[in-house]
Amino acid sequence: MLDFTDAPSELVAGSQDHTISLPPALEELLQKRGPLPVTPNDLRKYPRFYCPVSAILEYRGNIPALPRNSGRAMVLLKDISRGGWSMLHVEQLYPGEEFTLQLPNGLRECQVVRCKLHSHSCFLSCRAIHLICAFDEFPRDRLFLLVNPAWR
Amino acid sequence: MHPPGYGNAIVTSAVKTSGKSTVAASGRYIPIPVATLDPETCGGLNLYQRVSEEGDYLLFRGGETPLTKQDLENLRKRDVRQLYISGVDQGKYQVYLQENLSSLLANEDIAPAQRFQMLNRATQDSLREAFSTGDTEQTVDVSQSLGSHTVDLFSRTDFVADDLFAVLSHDFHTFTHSANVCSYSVLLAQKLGISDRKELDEIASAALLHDLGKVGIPWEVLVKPGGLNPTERMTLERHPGIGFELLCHREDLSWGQLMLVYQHHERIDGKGYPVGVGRDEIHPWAQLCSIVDVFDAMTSERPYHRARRVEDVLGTINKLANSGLNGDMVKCWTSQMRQAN
Repeated sequence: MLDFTDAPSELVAGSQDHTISLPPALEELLQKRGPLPVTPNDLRKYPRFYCPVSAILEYRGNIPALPRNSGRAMVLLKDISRGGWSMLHVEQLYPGEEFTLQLPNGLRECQVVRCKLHSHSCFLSCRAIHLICAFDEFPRDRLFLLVNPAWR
Repeated sequence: MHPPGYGNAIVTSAVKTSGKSTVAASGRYIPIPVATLDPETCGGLNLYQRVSEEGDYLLFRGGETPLTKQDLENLRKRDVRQLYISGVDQGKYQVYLQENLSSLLANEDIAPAQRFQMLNRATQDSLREAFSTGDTEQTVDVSQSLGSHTVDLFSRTDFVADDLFAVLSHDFHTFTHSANVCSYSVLLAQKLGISDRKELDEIASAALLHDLGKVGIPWEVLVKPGGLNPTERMTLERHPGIGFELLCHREDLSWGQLMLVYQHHERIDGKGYPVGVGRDEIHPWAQLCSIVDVFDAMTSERPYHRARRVEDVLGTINKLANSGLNGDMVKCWTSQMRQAN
């Protein structure tokens, strides 16, 4: 799995470890590669491929009424396709919400298409990365699956 | 139960071409309360009186002849409370109603039920037009204005749930449903103790917008008789998200209003959609809207089911208390409806 050993220095501080325990259905996610199996009524335009990669999400605050702290959070990409990707996050995001995703190979501007609650006990693990946003304030026992944010 | 008021009468009668009084040509005639007519502003409407049980209509005042206060006084003395307009003039009357809505709703001479019907009719007409143009800006503006009128009327009159039910329409159109949910939401919010005017205005306008996302759902799915297949169900379940996305960038809508639109199909047991969150994460306004949304859906005619009796629906809603719907709010709503019944 890709990591952030070459992340900008301001992002690496201290020795905070954020532990994730993936739910049973996703326990093997980090080892999976290749295309996802096709499911009935999938409604997907393009095939999806496993891509368990850590990324840094930066909120852009484009929804005026949304009471959200600005800043960044660590997310885990789950799969990717030509149309977008799905990722796991401890916080719910909303349709139309825009954010910047910092991937190992660069930045992407994204917009949320859908979000579903995936599990009641699912955490994101990352290695010695200091998170600027108030990540610790969000309850660790929720994980939201963001489905297919669109590429920009 | 069919509300009084805006019915349609199909008439066939001879046309006399001489004189001022003319039995009108065949067509559709719509009753309008005399109390809604303001001589200074209702010009241009041909007004008819019904002269027989068989459905003959006589021209009372042509649009080119101004209505006077004396005319209204004479009608009042004869206890004539209703005149008629032809279907052709319905658009003109709707415009007149919308332009004069504030003063009409404040007119204590008009019975509360009639005022409410006018408001409901104006709301349905405005929403139908706004939905058909697909103009979100217009839809939100209409919702805010009519939502405020709804709260205003509720604050002036003592409507009980049954009065409300009796005057609302119960067809399957989204604009009818939205107008009904708005009224029910305001009533339930008041009974739950929400008295802040700004909050009530926001709840009312959000309730009018709650199914805005259906503009993005194919018509065939919305009106399909019988059950939806899994693909159609997934398509339909996108409408809260579509509605949210259409509204989220606006600065004049609050988070509570957006959540009412986004979460009104969530269930407190977490089995709802689009996200599947549970009680603590569903905004109270969305929980309130869920109840009246279900109530109106079940008591209205739909392509896929007949309207059910109020008592049966209240029984069904009670069973959903504390599983799908907020138990305390369900209790409040069912007690309101049962008290009236």
